[in-house]
Amino acid sequence: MSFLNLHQLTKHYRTKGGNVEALNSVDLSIDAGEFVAIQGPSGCGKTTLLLALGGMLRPTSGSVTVDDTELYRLSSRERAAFRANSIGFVFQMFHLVPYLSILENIWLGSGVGGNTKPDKERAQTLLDQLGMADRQHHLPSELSAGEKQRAAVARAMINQPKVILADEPTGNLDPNNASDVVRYLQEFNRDGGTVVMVTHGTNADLAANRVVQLEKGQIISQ
Amino acid sequence: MNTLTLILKEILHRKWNCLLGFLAVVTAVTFSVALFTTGEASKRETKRTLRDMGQNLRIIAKDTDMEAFWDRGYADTTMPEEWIYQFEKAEGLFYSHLTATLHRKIDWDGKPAILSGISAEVSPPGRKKPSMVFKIKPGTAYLGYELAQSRSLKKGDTITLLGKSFTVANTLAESGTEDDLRITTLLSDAQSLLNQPGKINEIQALDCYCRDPNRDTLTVLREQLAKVLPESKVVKMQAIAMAREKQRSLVEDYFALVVPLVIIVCGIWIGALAMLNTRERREEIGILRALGHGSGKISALFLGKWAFIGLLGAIAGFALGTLLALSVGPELFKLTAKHLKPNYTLLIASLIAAPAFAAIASFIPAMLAVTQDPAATLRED
Repeated sequence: MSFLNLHQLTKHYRTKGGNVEALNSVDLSIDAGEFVAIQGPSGCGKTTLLLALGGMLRPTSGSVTVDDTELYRLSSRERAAFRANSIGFVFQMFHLVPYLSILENIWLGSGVGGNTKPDKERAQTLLDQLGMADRQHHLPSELSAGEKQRAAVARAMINQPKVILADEPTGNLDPNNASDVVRYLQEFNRDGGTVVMVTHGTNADLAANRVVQLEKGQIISQ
Repeated sequence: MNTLTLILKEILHRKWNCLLGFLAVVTAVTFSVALFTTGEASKRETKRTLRDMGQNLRIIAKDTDMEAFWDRGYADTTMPEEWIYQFEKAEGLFYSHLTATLHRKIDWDGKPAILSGISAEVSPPGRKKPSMVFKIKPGTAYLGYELAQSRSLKKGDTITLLGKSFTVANTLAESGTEDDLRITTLLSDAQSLLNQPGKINEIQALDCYCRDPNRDTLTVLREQLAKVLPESKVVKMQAIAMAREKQRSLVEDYFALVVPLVIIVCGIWIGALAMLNTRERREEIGILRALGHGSGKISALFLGKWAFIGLLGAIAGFALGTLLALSVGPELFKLTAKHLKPNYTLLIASLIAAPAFAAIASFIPAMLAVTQDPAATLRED
């Protein structure tokens, strides 16, 4: 069985205008160590797919299995612990906590889930590796977009997850910063980690081993 | 990172939200503490006033013409001075002081005056309480305000009363009552002047109450007097006492309405601020969820923050409320001003109630934060 499995995954949203079918019977398997890019136009269900894959969004039907664990059979507490220990998230808007320093933002992700202790040293090592050691005590508001996203990547890696789910991580970055972020994800992938990255179809997908095309909630090629 | 550190950092980051919340708690606590502190003073003042005004009983001869009594302000009939010692035999009653008095209207140099002779106080057997009234030396007199003013008399002057010389022991402050026309002497001097030796027309029982709290003092006193002084009757200045009690009751009712109202308004204020704070932190909640933090941590962040603000507000509110009570209270409650002091029971109550109050007020926003779908925020990218 593959490391990540989506089986007949369907997600409907109820809106004022009626039901919106974000995902429609999606089947997808991703092996451990793969770097998969998910592409498609806006509103095709890419982010929904990524959040469902990360145990953040319960599907209307179907199942999500990560490392032989069916996520939505877990209680919310168990799923949170699983997410903390096995999955790292990187978002387009960085989502750094505004009142914490960069070091604290990265550290915030460690020691969660019951299995690990807060690891300040690893947070500092990651900042060193990402060339941000001199920025560790700065607040997010004092950093450039590229630096924020590097910090977000470091936060995703703090617990040494098995998979990183990145939602358009280069969407708000200039080409240099975008290529830096992709390079960090590639390095994670080379070290054995699995990466699933949603993109709009930019050059970021060139780093991927496989590109999955999504349209109107369905996979049209992979 | 522990929850308290996160709470403190968030408080320092969103100063205005926290400051406004802090002010809401301070307002609620200040108001409550100030009102409770002055409320206690109000109760004490009323008790004191009741003791001085309402619970003072006047024992007069049974055949006193009551219409004349109320018209003149004293009984026209007299009774033996020894009756005051009979009062000691009354059972089931407690009193602090007994005083025998003799009053008469007199003509003093062509103008009306009231001559009042007052005996030394008789304390209950086995107990000596401090004097409630001034002590009068033989051959001296205290003059009411009007009498002293109209005759330009002052302390130490010599006056002649019904043919006998007296030294002015002191002149009294303006009272706005018939006391301004009163000449007060020792009872024996008044008896001598009025040619009424061994006679009095009133016994005043001060601070008189029934030992059995379930019984009415006046009823018990009447029963007892019927046994020991069958030729007497008792009058209580009930109207004044009731008016005073009613006034206090009104103030208490007012407090009972205003305090909850202020607390409710402050609670809504905190709730609204907490709601704004929750909305502002949707992204943060989303990312905490994504990082694997559970509902317990999220709710602790929100409820803990408001409880912490409540704790700070309790300390500041107690200090401010006490300061307010101590600065305004003495103006309002002159009789018991010296008894106005910080009530540390209120501090303990505030330290417990204010954090709980702030946490309860922010409970709904906190629960909204906990139940918020993190994907909804993170999907907005």
